[in-house]
Amino acid sequence: MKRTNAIFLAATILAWGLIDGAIAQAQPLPPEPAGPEPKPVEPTPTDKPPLPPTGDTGEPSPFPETTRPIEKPTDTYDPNRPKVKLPDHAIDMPMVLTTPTGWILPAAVLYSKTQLDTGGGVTSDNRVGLGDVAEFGVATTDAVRARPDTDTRAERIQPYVTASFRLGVSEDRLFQNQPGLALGFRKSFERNHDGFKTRIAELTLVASKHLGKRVAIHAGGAFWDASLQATTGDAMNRVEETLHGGPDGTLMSGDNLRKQIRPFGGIQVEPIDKSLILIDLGWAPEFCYGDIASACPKGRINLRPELSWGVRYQIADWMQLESGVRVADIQNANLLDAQIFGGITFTSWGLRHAVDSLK
Amino acid sequence: MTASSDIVRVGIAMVVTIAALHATPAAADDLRDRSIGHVITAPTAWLPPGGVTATTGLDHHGGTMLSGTISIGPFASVELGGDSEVRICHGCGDTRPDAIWLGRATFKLGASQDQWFVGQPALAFGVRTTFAGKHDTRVAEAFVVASRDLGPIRLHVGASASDGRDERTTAPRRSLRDELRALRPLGGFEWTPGQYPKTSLMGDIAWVPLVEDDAVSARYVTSFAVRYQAFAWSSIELGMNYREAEEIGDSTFFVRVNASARRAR
Repeated sequence: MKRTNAIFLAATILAWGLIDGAIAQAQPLPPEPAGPEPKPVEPTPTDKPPLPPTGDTGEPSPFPETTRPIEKPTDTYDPNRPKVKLPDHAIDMPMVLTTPTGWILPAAVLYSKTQLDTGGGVTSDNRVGLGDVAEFGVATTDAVRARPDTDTRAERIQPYVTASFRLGVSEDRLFQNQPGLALGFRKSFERNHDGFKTRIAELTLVASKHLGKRVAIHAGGAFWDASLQATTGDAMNRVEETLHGGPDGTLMSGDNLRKQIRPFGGIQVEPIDKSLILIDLGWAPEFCYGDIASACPKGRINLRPELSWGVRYQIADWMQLESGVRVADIQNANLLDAQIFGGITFTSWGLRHAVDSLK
Repeated sequence: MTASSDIVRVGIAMVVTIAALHATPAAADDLRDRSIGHVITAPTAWLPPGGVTATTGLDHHGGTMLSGTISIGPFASVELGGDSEVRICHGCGDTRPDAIWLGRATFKLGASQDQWFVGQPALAFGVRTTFAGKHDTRVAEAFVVASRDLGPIRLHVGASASDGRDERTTAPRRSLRDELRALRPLGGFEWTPGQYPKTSLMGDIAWVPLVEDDAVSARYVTSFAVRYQAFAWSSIELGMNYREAEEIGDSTFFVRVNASARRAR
């Protein structure tokens, strides 16, 4: 696990450096949200051409044009300078339904999503955009599941608290037709459940691209890791088992790498303004607490595919309703595993405006 | 009487009825409520045009049902509620299976009539599942249905697959292939005579799971009812349904009330 964490950290630093350099080289424009154009700013007195000095009679100045005083640049620190308030606008969401997109939240925009489902799951996802190139979030997920053996139905472990950090570049920022790109890292806090201590971590790289005004696709890959450790029993029982290694502490091998890497993706279509149809395929870890030889022959840590489809309806620029169906472990598709979920998402530009007002 | 012969007879009866009544002129002002997501038991492809639709009902065996539907944009709806449609039989022998009240949720995704091309029926794909409960009885259903307004007649045709189990069921879990093999037809009709624009005669056939010790089987339910659109926002239904393998005397009579509140435009 430590080794994997070191790789994650190195990859994150490397990617940060690359993207930071690329942005600097591209001399990015200041963020200009799409949407209605901002109201024209009233020109300050210094913006206007200086009036020629006039005599008491009000006649034009005798000075020629070339001898007029030079215009002074606008004083950006002038407290009386009128402030430009950028209008709020709908944002490209950082999640399809269960998988991340290549779109990063705009700077200082807050995002909060709360979701319920028919299996009794309650999740919450809260994020903030950082400088138009990154976002930080804390979430609870109900996607992680556990079962005592392969014959018993898996049950979700919830709440499972995770923290995430994503960085990336928005669409068309570096060059025309460049997809939105995001490199994300999500890591859980340690969770004790039924006498076992578990953790998960996920490194994702995803690209998102609008195809016209109404369609967008998302495709990416995830590098997963997870650990399972008994909290009771003797020392043999308490050996930590990870996805990248084995119970005997073996190092990464080709087989283990194949177990850790998974593709994911989704598509969204907006046939009518403000109504999106979304489909995505993601992965979630599943733990098996039983003995590997008898109860869990496929291993004690597995990744299971999860298919979701649903709709997102934008009630207001700052509020969206979301609902759909999620089938955990679509590989062994069973109707009884289908969960219907409903959620509400809020986005706020309030913090952004507060930050802008300080400039 | 086998299930297939029953289906054929009901189908023939529907077709004959529809053919005979198709020429009946519709009322100039259509008073029928298209926000109701069911015929009687079978789902329709109608999606509520916005707002909320609620239905509550009672049958003579003491069974109750309650549901509320909210539209999520023009393409989808979510229905939350519960009913006592599902039957459970653990060693019940010749006695009637027990009705069990289950909380249900339905997600329906679809397109409205004529949306893609003229003559296109309304189409919907839905999943209906139970809420997690302490009895651990779970029932799920997936369906596709097409609905078309043909003047005084409205037709609904589709297919569904259902599954269910509880803690006492020993049958192995079904795979996707098994689910697809279990696909069964469903359908229904509504006829609103021109002379009585507030009254609709309805009939349908649908499938509900019977959960047993060692198997989960789908049993058909045929239903007939009359819906009276008392107000623009509310209607009342009176009808009966008959379940496969039950005596005709065990048929259930029910009354239901529908109410809808639409968003002002």
